[in-house]
Amino acid sequence: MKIDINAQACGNPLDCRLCLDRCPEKVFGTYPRKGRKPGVAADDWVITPIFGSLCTGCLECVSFCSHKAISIQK
Amino acid sequence: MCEFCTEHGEGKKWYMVMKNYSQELYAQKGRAEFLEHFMANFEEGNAKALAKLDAVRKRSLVLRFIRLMSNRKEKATHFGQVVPIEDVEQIIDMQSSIVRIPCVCRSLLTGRQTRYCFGLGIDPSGILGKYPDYAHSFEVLDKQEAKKILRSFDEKGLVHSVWTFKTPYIGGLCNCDQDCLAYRIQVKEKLLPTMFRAEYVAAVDWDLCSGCKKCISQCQFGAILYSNTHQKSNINVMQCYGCGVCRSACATGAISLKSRNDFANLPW
Repeated sequence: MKIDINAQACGNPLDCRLCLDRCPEKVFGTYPRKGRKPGVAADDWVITPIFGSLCTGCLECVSFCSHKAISIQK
Repeated sequence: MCEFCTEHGEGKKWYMVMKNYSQELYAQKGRAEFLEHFMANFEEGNAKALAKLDAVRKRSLVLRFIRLMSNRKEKATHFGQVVPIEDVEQIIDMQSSIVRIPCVCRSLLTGRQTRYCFGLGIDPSGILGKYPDYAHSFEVLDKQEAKKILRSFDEKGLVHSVWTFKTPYIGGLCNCDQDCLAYRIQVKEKLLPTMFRAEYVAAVDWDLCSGCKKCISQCQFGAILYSNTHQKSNINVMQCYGCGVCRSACATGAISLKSRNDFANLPW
């Protein structure tokens, strides 16, 4: 499975987190886009597929994503 | 006895040795810097490294090589062991300072700040106070409070484990469910070994077991089976991690922990 996430369409994933919560195999993870720096709160996060090989292609994340940011191809 | 007990245990269980929590040990080998780097880069570092590892999981030779190399590195830097609640309480009694900090695994996998992790003897305000994400949610606990919270975690079915920062120094006590990264890597994806099983395994006393099946939903490792013929529960010891959280769900007290050493052929 090839999972593509359009970071621009996604925005800040911590505002919705639907893909993180809804994925039955828990394929996705999130991290601060610019890393953690002393004195700066990490508020700009980005979603990424971590365990991509576990993706079953159920398309839950695609149907729940209100920003239409995720696309999955075989 | 696990590998760390023979190396760092002085004849006891290695996490029961006071020296492994000492401030002298913490001051050596740049452990404070390691801890800071670990906490600050946890999400990004793991997300990128694991995505690469996942990409080679079907190429077994490459994966075997990486597993060999990283296992050596992990055991020297950051490795864990599952610990049942009685031993956790004894560990708490040995500590000079206990803080509750946000769980980095759940931050990576769920995007939420959940304070399930405990820092033992580390100075969080000095190292992590610079990072606003951590600084606003530290909670300094006394021993009684810590034990009460850990008991409530046990009843919820969270598995306790101790974690090293540059072995043998123990600086963290985690309370994990299936959102834990160590659980994901070792138990679910079977990519790399990240922690030892506990020094125990669970056993069911069939004279006391009522067959209510409540322990089955409590087990994070899927190690409890139910026999319809006998209407009793059974433990699959090859899968049991010995965390003992099943006992808090058992109303009749039928489950107890046995020493893993008494079984000749169990995995650690």
